[in-house]
Amino acid sequence: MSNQQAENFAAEAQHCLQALTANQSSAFRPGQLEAIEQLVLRRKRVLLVQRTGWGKSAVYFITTRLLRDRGAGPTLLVSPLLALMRNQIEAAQRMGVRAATINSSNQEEWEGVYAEIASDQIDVLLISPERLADRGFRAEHLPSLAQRGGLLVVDEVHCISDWGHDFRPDYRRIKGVLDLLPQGIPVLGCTATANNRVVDDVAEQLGTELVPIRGPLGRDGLQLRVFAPAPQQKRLAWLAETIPSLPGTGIVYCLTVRDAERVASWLTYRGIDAVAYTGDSHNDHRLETEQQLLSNQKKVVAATSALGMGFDKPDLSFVIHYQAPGSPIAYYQQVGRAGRALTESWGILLQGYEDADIQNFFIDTAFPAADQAHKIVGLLEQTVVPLKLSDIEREVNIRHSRLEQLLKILEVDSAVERVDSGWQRTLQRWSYDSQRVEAVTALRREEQAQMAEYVSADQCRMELLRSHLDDSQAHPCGICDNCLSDQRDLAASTHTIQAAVDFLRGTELTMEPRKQDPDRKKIPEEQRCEPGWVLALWGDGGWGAIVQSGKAEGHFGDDLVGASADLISERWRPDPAPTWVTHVPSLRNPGLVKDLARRIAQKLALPWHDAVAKVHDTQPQKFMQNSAKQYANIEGAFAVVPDVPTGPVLLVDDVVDSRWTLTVIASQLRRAGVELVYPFALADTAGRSSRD
Amino acid sequence: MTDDRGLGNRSEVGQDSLAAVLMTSKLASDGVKPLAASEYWKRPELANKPSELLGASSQVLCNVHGLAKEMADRINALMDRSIAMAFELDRLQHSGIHTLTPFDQHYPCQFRYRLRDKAPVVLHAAGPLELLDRPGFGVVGSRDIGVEGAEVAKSAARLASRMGLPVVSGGARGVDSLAMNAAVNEHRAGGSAVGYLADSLERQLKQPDTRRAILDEQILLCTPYRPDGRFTAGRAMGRNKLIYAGALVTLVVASDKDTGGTWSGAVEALKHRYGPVAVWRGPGEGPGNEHLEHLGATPVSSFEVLETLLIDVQSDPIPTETATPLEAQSQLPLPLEISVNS
Repeated sequence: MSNQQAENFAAEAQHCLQALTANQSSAFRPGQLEAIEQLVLRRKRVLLVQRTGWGKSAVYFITTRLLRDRGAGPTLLVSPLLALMRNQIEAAQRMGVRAATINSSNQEEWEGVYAEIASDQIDVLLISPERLADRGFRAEHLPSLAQRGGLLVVDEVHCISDWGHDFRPDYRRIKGVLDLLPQGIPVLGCTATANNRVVDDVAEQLGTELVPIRGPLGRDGLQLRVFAPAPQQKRLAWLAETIPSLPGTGIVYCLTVRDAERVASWLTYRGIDAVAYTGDSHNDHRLETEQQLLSNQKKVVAATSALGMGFDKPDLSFVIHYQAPGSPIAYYQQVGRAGRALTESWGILLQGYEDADIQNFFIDTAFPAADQAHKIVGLLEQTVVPLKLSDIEREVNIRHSRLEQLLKILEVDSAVERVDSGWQRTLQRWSYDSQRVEAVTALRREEQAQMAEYVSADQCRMELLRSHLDDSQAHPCGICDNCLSDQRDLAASTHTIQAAVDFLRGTELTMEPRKQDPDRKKIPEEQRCEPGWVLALWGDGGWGAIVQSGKAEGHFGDDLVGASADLISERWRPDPAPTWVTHVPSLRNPGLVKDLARRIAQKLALPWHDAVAKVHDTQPQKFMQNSAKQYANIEGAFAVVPDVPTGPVLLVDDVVDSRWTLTVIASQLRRAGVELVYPFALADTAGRSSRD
Repeated sequence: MTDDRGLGNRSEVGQDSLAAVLMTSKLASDGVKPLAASEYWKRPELANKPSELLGASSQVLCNVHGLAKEMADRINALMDRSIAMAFELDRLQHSGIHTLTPFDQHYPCQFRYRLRDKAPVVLHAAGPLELLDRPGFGVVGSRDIGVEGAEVAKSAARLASRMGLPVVSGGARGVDSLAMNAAVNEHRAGGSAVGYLADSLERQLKQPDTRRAILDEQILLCTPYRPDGRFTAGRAMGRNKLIYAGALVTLVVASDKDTGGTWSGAVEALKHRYGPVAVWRGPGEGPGNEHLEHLGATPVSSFEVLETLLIDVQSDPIPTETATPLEAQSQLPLPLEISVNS
């Protein structure tokens, strides 16, 4: 290319940029024009590693415009974030780039999008990775949508690397596609977080001719702080006292869904405008929460890592971690959301004694154990015909949610696939790749050690994070606690700490009645129990720990009986009220729950009846890992004695795990003529018993 | 973790393979018509090094590669399918359907000698690809077959299996499935089968017996058509070619005369020399068998004769070494006369 041609091209691109920004004096940032040139003129594959807000979307919108002007087909943009791109799409329209979106929530618009693609009126088609991973969509819709694709853009491309901290199964399909895409088709991968190892891995997927363009990842004005580990009540109290004094809005990151929900409800209880955002939240709720945070309608969002990828709020003023993530890269990605457009912002890391346990849990369960993987693949290979999830559950003793997760991992490995009627073995050869599992697990351990190093370091924290990201321009920031020699203790008033203790004890939880048996058959309305309550979470900081020690000692103290009666009569107040009390019988320890139920009845001034008998012994439910196994374990184990009262009954248990026992007994009581059954338990392990 | 595969951007061969797929595959083809095999093969500028055409504009295709304007535009439009094609190939790959071209190591190289410019450019196959590495023993015949004919089909398949030859057939009802099943049932003798399908590969792969046999690495199913395609008479004929070309020798168990797919397939194979044809002359034969012998098929009247025939064809294999698909063109004709020493 001659100098004259290069200049003409630069001018053409510059013109697009000015249209995009609606600003005549806009200039390219270092790297932007280079990326556009590589894509448009050389049809290369480009990997952009640049911090959020650097202007990656300008690169792909301008590239699209220039490629389209040269006769290329539309751009296919794979991005997990569709709702938030509205502003960018509007900007793109200013230079004549028309975008359309295909996702699960706008199916009624697909027909129109097809027509527009067919008549070449779309320049950028945005598709979510979930859509791409959907079998039916890929078979029926994608071939026509992607028909003439001129540029493939993969946003958050680090997700295709299983070396990365953020590997997502949905992205695995993209990895396969990149491998089957010939040279000459420009590909742009974008990410804000990738160290050398991930860049190398992504480069291998994108091909050796990849052009990496990396910029500095530092964040000016972000003040990093780390506090020593503290118990939950102290951290909750500190949050409640500190957040109102922080300017602007922010995020509190937690490691588990339950912690995020608890932090949100505690802050709300303390009068702070807070909301939870987790992987369990409904899609609509998530979108609404993102919008509320973007428009400063909420002070703070308590979130898991589900609030992450690409979430773009330039004026987010603080990111607090309630617990420590397992890797400095994951930490950088989350804390780096703060203060991109602010001169001053905060990144504060709190730590709990539970952090290491939770991190270990994530590391240990990232891959199926060899025997579990062989069991599942072997089963499907043996039956050949597709099996429903509940059929698989019946054969393998693996918890429902875990089984789903394992199937997804095995699907990524092309060992199994989802078809209309269930899961089946693919026709691919497969063997358990223990080498890869060991290598990735070792890397996670290394990252965990690096995170431990981060929290105990006395060098500059930002410099340390950037060096873990292989950012060659890392240097001391001058404003973190180490640079300022400003280490402080986590301080909160005794009053607030006491309130947090009371709150933790009072986080009683409701239990939804099961409406289906393990075969997904509906349990008839007249055989179900009512919504029930539990006093605490098993082993938790509030009542949970007291329940745990009571169970170990074989006696529950009066404090638990009193708290239970208070909960039932003061807060729960079932209506119509129970007229008698019974309990879940046990052959192994017949006295413990019977005594508890009798004392609760006494406290509530209700009669107690020994209404349910255990007719044969069963294994503890906690050894049964899934519904089908649990159900089979207890089906037929109980019998209701003759002539029980027919009024509403309170059904007491000590620790509830799967809710199947309560479901089965309630159904038998109702069939014996009892009007309503209200289940109550001291603690809910909610499937955590296997981790105790 | 999964399979070795040639297709893909990791190697130069993979790039040629992808380019060949883009020019000829009917996958992801809503608009412009993909090249027929004959259109592809007769242009050495395409068939020799197709990857050189990747990313080239119509102008470059005309001026540098010497293509006519209309062909250049068409190839350009076909190459535009790259992204959609990558998604399609990956989808097939994920469920175990491999895509092969003459650039892949498992593509049966005798196809080019025998079928010349009718050799399929793209094959989709599920099962152990190694079964394509050497020619097998073809068994064909009509769908409706009597007890004696059925016995011949099964015995012939068992004989080939015990001699270590895969049975090659069409996967249709009657002789095809009798022979293939007989081979698969010879699992202790290492029996295996290759089926060239005229109807939907994807649908066939839904059959539990088929999945079982593939997972046990006993059969390979292959089609030159879209894996979701439907059966047509034209496809049946196209698929017959592959059986004859994919076998050291193909035995016609029973054929009608002047009608039916078996008859036309055998006549075509004899006429165009797609591969050596043998015909059963004994109890269970069809009304067309005698005429096929007159047209040049080698008569086989007993299993002793068949065994000798199979030993002979194995000891005198067709040449299979070739560097590029184009060189293959000059290596015709293939040995047609088979002497039977009975």
